[in-house]
Amino acid sequence: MGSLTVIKSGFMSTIQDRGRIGYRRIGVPVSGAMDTKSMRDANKIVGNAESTPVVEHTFYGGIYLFNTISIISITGASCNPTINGRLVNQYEAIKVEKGDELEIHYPKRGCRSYLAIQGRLRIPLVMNSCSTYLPGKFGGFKGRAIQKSDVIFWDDDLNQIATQLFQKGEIPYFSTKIKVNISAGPEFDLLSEHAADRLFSISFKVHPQSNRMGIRLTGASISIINFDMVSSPVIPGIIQLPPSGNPIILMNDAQTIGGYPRIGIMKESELWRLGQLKAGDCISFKLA
Amino acid sequence: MLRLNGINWKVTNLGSNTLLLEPMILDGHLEYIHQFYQQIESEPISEIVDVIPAYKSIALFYQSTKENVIEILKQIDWTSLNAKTEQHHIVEVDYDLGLDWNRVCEVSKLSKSEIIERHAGTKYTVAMIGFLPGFIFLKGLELSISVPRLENPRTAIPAGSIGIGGNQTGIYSLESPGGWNIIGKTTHQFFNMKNDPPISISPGDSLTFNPVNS
Repeated sequence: MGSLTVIKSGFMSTIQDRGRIGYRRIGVPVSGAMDTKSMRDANKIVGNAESTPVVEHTFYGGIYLFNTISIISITGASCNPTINGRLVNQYEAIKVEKGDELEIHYPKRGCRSYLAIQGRLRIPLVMNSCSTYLPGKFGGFKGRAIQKSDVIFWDDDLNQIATQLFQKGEIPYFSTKIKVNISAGPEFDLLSEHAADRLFSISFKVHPQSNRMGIRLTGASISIINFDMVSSPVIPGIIQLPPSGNPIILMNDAQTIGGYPRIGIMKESELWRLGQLKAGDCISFKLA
Repeated sequence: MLRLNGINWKVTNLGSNTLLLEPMILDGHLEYIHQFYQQIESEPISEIVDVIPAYKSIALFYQSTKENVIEILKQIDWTSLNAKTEQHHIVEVDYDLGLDWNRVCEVSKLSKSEIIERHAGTKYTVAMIGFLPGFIFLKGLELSISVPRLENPRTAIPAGSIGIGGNQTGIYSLESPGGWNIIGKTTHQFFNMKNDPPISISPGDSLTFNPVNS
């Protein structure tokens, strides 16, 4: 059995996997890693199954003291990780020794970095997932972000798949300006031609109040006819338009039912890129 | 357009692996959505991994092709639905633990006891569960006691709180933020993370409130 001790808390570091499937009928969001690609990459590098629980760090990640020899990988945001003060590479398997201190720094690019540890974290399943859902205080490490003095254990004696090497070209580059494909949502027709034109021509800015529930956009308001909408199902990737006219892209911890017009839907396969957006980054939409 | 359970349903894509089904009828949507939900719950379809029943539509999450899922839906035998019975829940409420009585009395121009009488004198239908884990939306609130949501939602409403939001009433079965007018609290625990499924109430069930003093 392996373990580490958190010796400095991060800004918001939580345990995540692919999320909770099958409980939306009772209002439980999917949760799970915001950038699923980086979660899968981190696991592949250390030879874990793709959706093995990982630690997701938003911004500054904190300092970990390893109590045992371990194989780890760090993917996602470029966070200049250091071991005992010396820079180490991301996107490769790293062997850490007992007593080593790993620090996950504030990212230079991107927003969220992922730490995978070879083996399987000892985190109890809640509704079939280890993902932390902070608003509900359940899942992950005691339903909360990990903090100073927490000790995380894992079983390292599992049959591992071969670790995977990443080539430079396979490492994603997280741009501060992205363009994503969307398709029309159920209430897209409520937009006037002018409003629809604006939706596809404006470069929106990510608002600082964005979080795991949704990415709030500012920069230009899109007007919509006044419409009393009945609460309807929503999923991550839906672009809602509240009366303010500032769109919100729903993310992993989003509610299951919403009352704002659903003007667009992002492709699920592109959603991971949004997990790396931070306040001030730009996003524009293209009709697929 | 898809014909299921004797009516037409509009089918649209909601993302890559999600279908949105809407009954194409003038009213009575909820009844058909509940029948659909009960059918899926009692005879699960392995290709359909999750559902979200709402007021006028139901979302289906699938692991298969859209064409295959539609074929499977067409083959459902709806006649067995008649055999199913909805549960009735009686929920004990301490109305003295309400937080917004001043506002609710002022808006409705009724006394607290009149409001309690009307709130507890109605048989409700569980419309849906969501938007947050375990939030129970109840249909059937008497119009005379409907009160608009708070302008500034609370950041934390204790588990078990009973609220009025517009012309609906509902139960916060877990602590969560919210903007409904809180008129009471129950000790009944609908949501228990240790159970699977963690909630002991289902859309389509009926519910009445029973005033108690704790």
